[in-house]
Amino acid sequence: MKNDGGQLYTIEGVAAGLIMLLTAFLVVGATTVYTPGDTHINDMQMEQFGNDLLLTMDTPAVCCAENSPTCSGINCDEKSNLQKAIENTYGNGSAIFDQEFMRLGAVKGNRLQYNASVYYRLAATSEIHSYLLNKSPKLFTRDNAVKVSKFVKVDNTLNTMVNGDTKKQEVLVEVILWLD
Amino acid sequence: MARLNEEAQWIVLMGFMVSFSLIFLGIVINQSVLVGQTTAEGVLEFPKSDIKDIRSQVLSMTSTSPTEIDGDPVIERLRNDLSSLSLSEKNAVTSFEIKCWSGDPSCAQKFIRVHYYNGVTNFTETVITS
Repeated sequence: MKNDGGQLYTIEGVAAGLIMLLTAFLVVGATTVYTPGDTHINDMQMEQFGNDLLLTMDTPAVCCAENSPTCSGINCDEKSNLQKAIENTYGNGSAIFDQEFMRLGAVKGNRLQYNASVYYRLAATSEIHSYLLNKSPKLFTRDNAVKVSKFVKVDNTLNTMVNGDTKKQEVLVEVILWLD
Repeated sequence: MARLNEEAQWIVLMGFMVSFSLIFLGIVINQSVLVGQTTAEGVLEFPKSDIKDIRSQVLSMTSTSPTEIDGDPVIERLRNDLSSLSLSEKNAVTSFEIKCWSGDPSCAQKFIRVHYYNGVTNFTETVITS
């Protein structure tokens, strides 16, 4: 006959082991190490927000079909705010950009900060150059910053842009944005 | 050694079951964190907005120039800007062609092909305007 004494001690030992494992598991799980690589979720939301923002800015306010009798809005050749900001026809391009960007970004409270540049190509040398369109007063960041960009068709035949060829062209607006 | 008390063994057994189920639930919670991260990574990696942007730029190009097909100086200028800027700023190869749809002498109907490739995502679209 086998000696079946000490069964309860064995069970107790195993149970104690499990409890210790569980405690260790809970302790490790309760503290999340938030490395820069783990900010994807916030970055993804911020990037989506920024792209939507630029897309909204590059959409003309009201666009009517030509000679539409029912429409009292603006014609289809009306330019978007982003085009107006870059074409800088009245010399207030960066002001337009800041006003529109902060108006649309107001859903984030006053926390939204940005730094926007325009990249353009010079046809003669085929070089890419850039200039600063506008930026927030506070250029430091606590949260991760993300980069969003948008191609914009601009008409610089009147040579009102800050820089660039005096032609119709595509430029790239690149905005780095973050929450203060 | 004292004689072992064999009563209440089932309580210990219940204790086992509770521990096991807690560990199992812990594993499930850990997995959920991982799922959220990989989903966000997937969204970040796929150049959704880049593709939408290129697409909208090319498809709206047919209203910028009177002749509006490949070879037109305005279209060529926009093409070079678009491909140089996306290559240098977005590390993506972008190209497009706009042609008159055959059998349409007035060229009102156009054949447009958009291509985007950033080394991971390869996107090609063909559109025939109505």
